[in-house]
Amino acid sequence: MNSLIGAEFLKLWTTRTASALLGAIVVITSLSVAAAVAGVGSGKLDLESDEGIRAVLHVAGSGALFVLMLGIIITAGEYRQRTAVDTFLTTPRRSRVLAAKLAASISAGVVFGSLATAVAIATAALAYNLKGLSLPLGTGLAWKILLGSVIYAALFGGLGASIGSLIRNQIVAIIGTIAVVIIAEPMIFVISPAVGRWLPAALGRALVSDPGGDFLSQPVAGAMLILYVAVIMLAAAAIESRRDA
Amino acid sequence: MVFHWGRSGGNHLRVVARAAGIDPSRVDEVLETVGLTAAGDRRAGGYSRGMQQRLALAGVLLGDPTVLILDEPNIGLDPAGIAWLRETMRGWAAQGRTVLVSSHVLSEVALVADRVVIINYGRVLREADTGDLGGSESAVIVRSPDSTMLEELCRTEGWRVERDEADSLTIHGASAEQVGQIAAGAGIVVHELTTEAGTAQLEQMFLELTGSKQEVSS
Repeated sequence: MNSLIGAEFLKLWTTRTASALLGAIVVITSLSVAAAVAGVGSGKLDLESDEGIRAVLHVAGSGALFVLMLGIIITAGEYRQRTAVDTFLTTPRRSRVLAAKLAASISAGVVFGSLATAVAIATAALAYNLKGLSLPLGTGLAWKILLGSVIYAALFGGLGASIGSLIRNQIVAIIGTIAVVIIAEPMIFVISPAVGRWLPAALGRALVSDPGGDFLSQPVAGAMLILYVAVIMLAAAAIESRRDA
Repeated sequence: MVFHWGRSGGNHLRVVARAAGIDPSRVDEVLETVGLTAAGDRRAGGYSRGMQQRLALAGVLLGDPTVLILDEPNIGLDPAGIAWLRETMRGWAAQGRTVLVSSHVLSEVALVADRVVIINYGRVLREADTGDLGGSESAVIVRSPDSTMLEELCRTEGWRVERDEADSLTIHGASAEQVGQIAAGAGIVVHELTTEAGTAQLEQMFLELTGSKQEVSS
């Protein structure tokens, strides 16, 4: 199993896809954090208060959408590139391949999420400095949010892998997922927060203590996301063992 | 075999080796075997069909298999590549490996295979050593401006004669020497006198065995 996960990592690092997404995450995260500091700073919220920290640091999770895409590419990408046949010929037990891809996607999420979080800290610290303030990293809230953003990315990597395993058409999977996360979910949340907060994007926002709504607590949100990943992945594995590559 | 266009040939092999638990040092060895050492760091998307075919073979060789199964391995190879593949396959066989090739290029099969199985619509029609395929009946091709007279003489000898073109005959049941003697005895000028190569015989046999069906079924 370790060698299969290693092979998946090797696949990631030997094309430009992962580094391109990583570059996008770094750029998006630093821009978002800088914009958040500027936005909050011009309002009446105190940047050094808990509310201010929340308003700035929750943006550290902005890159999770890219990790979601990476997870889809790790799984559905094998069908787009038509390499799936050879992958399954090398490892005929498909559930093992899917498990390796899930593990690789979650690990990549941890790596990318940690990097995005580091970029967020650096950008926020710099932006606070420019305003003559200092980023209050000593508070438990700051670290709760930052840890949450790493878990956010890790679980969204897993979510992408499970979606890409179920919907093997990469384009459909990516566009469909983005449409749900960016358009459908926020609409549902507006209509009924009681329902909307149990959906994946809202769970991700809960993990970074997004101040923009009545989200679930971090542990509940994390557990729910794990449940989503597990259910979709098990469904995909059950179907995959029956269908043709 | 299909490769990710953006991954180098060498890295493709490293991925396969990793997944199959094969020592990564084998990658450079098989790249050298198939002649891709220089191209190993280039993206597979830029490979020619022949190079892709070589990369696929390299992947097959990673695990040092004793039985190799190759489906139409000639596709995309240039003449030098085809000759290289022929030698390489003979080399594997000489090492004691079994090489199973499926191919429609019968001339290549006749040159490389020890044993031939002809399958049509899923049924085995003939299985034999390549040398035995032609049986005792050899065929001679002769070209002559006086082919009509030569045809008569050959028929008198009891040989089976087919007319290929205006001046060309295929004679079954005789050797080139015998046909040459007959022609010389009658003072007939001969422009060409050759023994039909095994390749053509294999093709002939295939067409006969399969009833030379021309319709294509899916």
